[in-house]
This record gives sequence, C-alpha cells and structure tokens, in this order.
Amino acid sequence: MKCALFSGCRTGFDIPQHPKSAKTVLSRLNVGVEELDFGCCGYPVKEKNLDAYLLLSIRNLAIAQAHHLPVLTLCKCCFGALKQADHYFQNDPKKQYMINSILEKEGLHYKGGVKIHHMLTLLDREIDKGVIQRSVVHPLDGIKIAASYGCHALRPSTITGLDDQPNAPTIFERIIKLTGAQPVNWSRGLECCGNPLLEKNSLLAREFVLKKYETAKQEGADIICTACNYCHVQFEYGRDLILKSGSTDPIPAVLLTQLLGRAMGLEKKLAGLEIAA
Amino acid sequence: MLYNWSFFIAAAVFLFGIIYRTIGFFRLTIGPEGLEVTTAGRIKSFLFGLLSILVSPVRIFNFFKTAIVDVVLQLPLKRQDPLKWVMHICIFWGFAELFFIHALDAYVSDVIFSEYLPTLNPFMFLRNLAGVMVIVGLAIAVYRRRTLFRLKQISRHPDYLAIALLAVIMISGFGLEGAKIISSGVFNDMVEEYGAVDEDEELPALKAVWQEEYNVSFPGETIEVSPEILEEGGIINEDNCISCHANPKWAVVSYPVSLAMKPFAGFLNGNRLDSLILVIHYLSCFFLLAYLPFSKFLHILTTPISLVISGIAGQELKSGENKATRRVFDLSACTQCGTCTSHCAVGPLYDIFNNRWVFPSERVTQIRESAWGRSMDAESKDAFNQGSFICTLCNKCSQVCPAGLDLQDIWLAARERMKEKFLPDPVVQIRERLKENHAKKTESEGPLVLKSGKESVIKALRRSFQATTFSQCYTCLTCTNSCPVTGVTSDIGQFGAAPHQVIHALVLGQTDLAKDAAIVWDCLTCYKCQENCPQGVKITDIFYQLKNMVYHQEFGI
Repeated sequence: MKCALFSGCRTGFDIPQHPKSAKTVLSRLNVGVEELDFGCCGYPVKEKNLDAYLLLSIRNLAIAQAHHLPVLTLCKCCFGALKQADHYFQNDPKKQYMINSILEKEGLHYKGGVKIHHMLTLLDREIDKGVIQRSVVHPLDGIKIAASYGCHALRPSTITGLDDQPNAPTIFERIIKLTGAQPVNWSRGLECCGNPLLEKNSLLAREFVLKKYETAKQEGADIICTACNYCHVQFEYGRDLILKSGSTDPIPAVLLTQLLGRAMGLEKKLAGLEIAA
Repeated sequence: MLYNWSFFIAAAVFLFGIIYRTIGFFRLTIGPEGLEVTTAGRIKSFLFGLLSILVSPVRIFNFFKTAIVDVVLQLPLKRQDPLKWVMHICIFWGFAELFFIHALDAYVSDVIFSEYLPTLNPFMFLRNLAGVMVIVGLAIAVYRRRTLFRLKQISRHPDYLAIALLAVIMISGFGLEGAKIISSGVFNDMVEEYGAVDEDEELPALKAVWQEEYNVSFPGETIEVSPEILEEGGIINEDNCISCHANPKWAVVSYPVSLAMKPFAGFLNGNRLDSLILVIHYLSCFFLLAYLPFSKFLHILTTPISLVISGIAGQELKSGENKATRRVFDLSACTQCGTCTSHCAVGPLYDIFNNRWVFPSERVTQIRESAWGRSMDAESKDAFNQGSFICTLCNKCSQVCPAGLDLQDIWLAARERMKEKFLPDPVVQIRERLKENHAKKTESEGPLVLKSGKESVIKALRRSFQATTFSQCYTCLTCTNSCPVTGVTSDIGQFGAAPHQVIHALVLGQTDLAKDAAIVWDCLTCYKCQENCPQGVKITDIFYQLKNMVYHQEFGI
C-alpha cells in the first residue's frame, strides 16, 4: 500500500527524527510513502478562527485526493484536526461551498472521502501483525513502556475513532507489544501533556508534563513512548525542566517510530534506549 | 562629459550604499534588544568564522561545492521549479556575460582575449545571445508574476521596477546596436578613424558594399551599385574593415532591429539619434549601479554569500554574534522570489485573514525595512503581530529558500522582539487582558442582570451545529469534574468560572460572563468534558467558538 505522509509542522525544525524514523520503518514494512506539498493541519489556528482551521485542514485532504492517496499522520493533533475537519465539512454544505470556492483558486477541490490514518491505526488495521513481528529483529524484551495516548486522536472518539474503547484504549499497547516490550498500566496515559497551554499558561503546562514524568516513573516505566509531535515536543520541554531543576535524569521519552526502528534494527543510536535496556 | 559625470555620481552612490549596508550588517540587530553582542565582537566573530573555513578541508570542499552547485548552476532551483530555473539562469548568465565581457570589456575581455573587439565574433554574437537570454528570462519573470496566483498576490512595484529597468537596458542596447548598424554617421566616423580609403575613388564602392551587405543607410546620397562596384568594394572592405568588424548579420537581434529601423533611417541618421540611444543605454546602466545597494538587486552580491554560509553551516551557526550578523545579512539576500510564500504551510490563510504578513516573504521585507529604520504605525504593528503569530514555525520556508536564508531564526528573533514590546501571540494578549478584567470585576461585584437570549453571541452559537448543543445542559458538573485544568486547584477563581458555569451562563444568556471567563483560554482542548457529557453538549467546541468570538472582537478578524 501507499500513503501520503503528513509529517506535521513541528517536525520541520523541532523533531525531524520523527518523519525520518517513520520513513525507514514504513519502507521496512513495504508501505510506500509519498511526500506531497502539504500545509499546516489547521490545529494551531483553531482557537483564532475555525474557518481558517477548516480551510487549512481540508486543503490537505484535497491535495491527497488529487493524488488518490490516503493520508498518514505522525501527530495526534494533526490526526484529530484532519478527522474533525472532514467530519464538519461533510455535515455543513455552506462550509463546503465556502472552502471549495477558496481552494478552487489554486485548482483544488475536495469532495470528501479521503482516508485519514495515524501511524497507530495504520499499523493496527492495515498491516498484518505477522509482518510487523517478523520485522522485529532486536526484540525489546524486558523494557517497560508507558504509552502517552494524546488527546486529539482519542477524543471526540465518535469522530476520531482511534480505538473501539475510547475510555480504555489498547491500540498503543498492542503495537508496543509487537516490539517485545512490555507496556505498563499508566494512570496518566490518557491525560493531556499540557502543550496547548505552553504559551498561554506555562505554569499549568509545566505542571501537566511534570506530573506525567513523575507518575510514569513511579508506576514502573523505563521509558515514555509518544506518537504525537506536540506531546513529544512537550516531553522534551519537560525533560529540560527536570534537568535544569537539578534532579536526577528523568526517564526518556521516545517516539513510537524510533522504538519500532530500534526493534527492527534500523536505528542503531537512540538516546534513552541504551540506558533503559 | 555627461557620461563621466553620471558615471561618477552613480559609482559614488553605489559605494556609499555598499558601505552603508556593510556597516549595517554588523551594527543592526533583529530580535530582542538586550542581546549581548557588540559591533566589534560581531566583526571579530565574522573574521574568525572566515578563518575557520580555511583550516577545515571539509568546509573548503563545501565552499566550492556550494559555489558551483548552488551559486553558478543553481541546481536546487532546477529541482524545485524548472521554469523558474530557466528564468533565473537566463537572467543570471546573460547579465553576467553582458556585465563582464561587454560593460567591463576594458578590464576583462581585453585582458583575457588578446583579439577582443566588440565588433568581432564571437563577441558580437554572444552579446546578442546574452541579451536575448536576459529578455527571455524577464518575459518568464513577468509571466510567472502575472499568472501564478500566490506570486501575483505578493508582487509589488519594486519587483516590476527591477524587471522594467533590466528591460530598458536590454532594449536600449539592441536599439543602440541597430541604430549604429544603419548609421551613416558611425560609418563615416569609423572610415575616418580606422580606414585608409581614398575618398573619391574607393569610398563609393565601400559604401555600396556596406549599404548592400551590412545594411548601412546613406540618406540623401545615391550610391551606385553594380556587380563590378561591389566586387571592388569587397576588396577594399577586406583590406580595411573585415579584420576588425564582422558582418552585423551576426548580431542576431540587432540586425533585424536595424532592418526595422531602415524606413526611419533618414530621420535617425540625420539627427544622430544613435547617440541619444547611447545616452539612454548608459544612463539606465548607471541608474542600476546606483540603485543596486538600495533594492533587491543587492542580492547579486549578498545571495551568493548567504548560499555559501548555508552550504557550510546550514541552520547551525554556533556563535551568537555570527547569528545576529547573519539575520541582518539574510534579510538583504532575499529576492522576493516568493518561493517561501508559495510553499508556506499557513499561506492559504491570507484568504481568511486578509493579512499580508501571513506570507513569509512579506514579513521578511517588513522586518528588513524596520531594521533599517522605517518605522511602522501602531495599526500595522498589530497586524504584523497577528500575521506573524499565524506562522507555525514549521521551517519549510528555510528549507525551500533558493537563497539559503535561515528564516526560522529570523522568525524566532522577531517573536522575541515582539514579546519584549508587549506584543506576544494575540491569544496570550487576550488571556492577559481577561485576567486584568477579572481582577477589576471582582472589586465591583453587583447582582447579575439577566439578559434575553437574543444576544449576538447566542445567535452566532445557534448558527453552528456543534455550538447549539449548549442548551441541552442540565448542570450535572460532569464536565468540571473531568476537567484536568480545574482539577489541579481548589481555587477555581483564577479561571473566572468552571466549565459547567460557562455553559450555564450561556443558557442564562449571560454571554459576557461566558466568553470573558479565563477558563475558556486555559482550556487544554483535551475534549474530556465533551467526551463525557451525558447530554451531548459539545463543550470544547463551544469553547473554541467563544475563543473565536473574542479573537474577532479584539482583533477584528
């Protein structure tokens, strides 16, 4: 199968390792990847103007539609934004008209129906478990992993549809198990990382991420696994905070694609995994 | 006389401009004012950086690689957009030929080519070819700026002035050569200067040859032409002229131009209009020279350097001093080519916000003008601030920039500057204002006046299919109980209201209470409340709508 990779804005500067590791993992799994000239998913402007959000989101879906490809996001916020925009667009003929009349200026048109995947849903639903398992050459036996779910992919669950059980999802753990690692039962796995308030209320944003670090360690995790650009940026921010405060090394936060890459023997160096393993 | 004076003035302006720019590169700062860098420190770091290139074989290799691949051949541009590459290569190479071989012939061509004469081949042909290249390039430039919809939106007078100026130079050049070809005056001058021709016996025959084969026009004279005369003239031509003057048919553009001029030859030659065209040609060239340091033409000098810096250091300059210098320098290396804007992740929002500072190329121009001392009025400052913070810092612009600019660093610095000037992200401004309002309100607490449900906020919410759900609320507090934000503290006062209170305020028609509550802006948008609401109230979505309304109310977009 082939997907249009939607890396997301945060990967261009902050975490370029995300698309890089995703591409190596996908090629090992025989998933073709095309990099189209996507824009922003719209999530960052949602609070300023919902029409602006809708335009940006739908524009990406229109680009994917023009290439007849499903979209594959790496970021939970991108995933949620695209899913929700698609939902609103389909249910609002006035917005359909408005957005399409703007898109037509650059020769684009969206008529709905583009499939939107997150890395997790792709691995869980589109790729045979056996294929993933066979590609794991260095099983991460004995490593305990806390999965940080990411709010925008999880909720509103009727629209995003990440997992059949939105209040007790297991999709992240299912994928982690394929690498041989052991997922831990993390009390704050479904909680927000705090990133949305980073600029507006940094005190609160701090509190949320530090809580996540603290509980993950307490509950026996060796590493935190993220599958979202914003969560990951937030965890890196939190890690700096902890290091600056002079306390001991926090447990590392690792991207899902890096974790898979490591298990597949593709990523030799991975900060944190050596320590954990 | 005019030639010398205009040249000296232009050269003086050019030199002044270059010195003024160079000083600015090391003196001006983009970004926060409290940066601990001095001009002397920046010059020192720059020289040190230069030295560090020389001591590293890898850097020397990268230097030459970038100079050839990115500067001379511009291959990255070819991969990006082949038409744009053709356009720029035509202008760049054509202009370079004309500048070095033609304009600076006394210093370049004469030195390199012992046989050089502007009237000889291949120079005559190459000059025409170069002119054609530049004109083709300019035509593509106009075509792109008129047809590509994003590029059209950002093209302004300076862009067209640059194109027009080059066009005037090229067209006057061809006009000059054409006028000289048909000019009897130029013919007579040259015979006098270089020929050893007997005026009565040989000159008529030579004139016949030059009229018939070289397209010179002798108005008012009747030149006798016969095969014998032409044969005689041919011999005289070979003896006197041909070693220094190729057949003007090799001037592949100017020759047809001279054919077109022929009907007006009497007027042109009678008044020696070739001298007038010459004046236009050199004055436009001198104008370009003087205009260069103050226009996008400066990129001829700056962009190669920024490409080399980018080739060697990428986005990872280490010294703070060099970063400060590079920011100022990079702004002057921007050509307003619009590549960043065409690929901008949020560029399409120009159609929603109607704010040109959403576009990176527009912001570069603005930041450059502000840095060099052109101040902005308060209204533009606000608009610039709003446009700037639409940017998601995705770094795409720096990655696609054909001039190798580190735009990301400029955006980050500009944001720091705005924060310093009390213009942070508009949403942060809103939250601060709400907090102030809240502090004032608690001082003068009075009884609530119930409003009717027909207020504009309610009307707007009713128009949206998610937001109408607020009326289904029965205040069970599930939202507030599941909210992680209100969960961190027992003092809900700092948030203005709890989530269920915001929804309830809407039910009561107390819309100000709802939209001015700080909790709306402290919302994490984790959607837990909405997910758990037994009544299907789209709480988080309603919060988004309220935020939109306040943003609109505060910033008019």
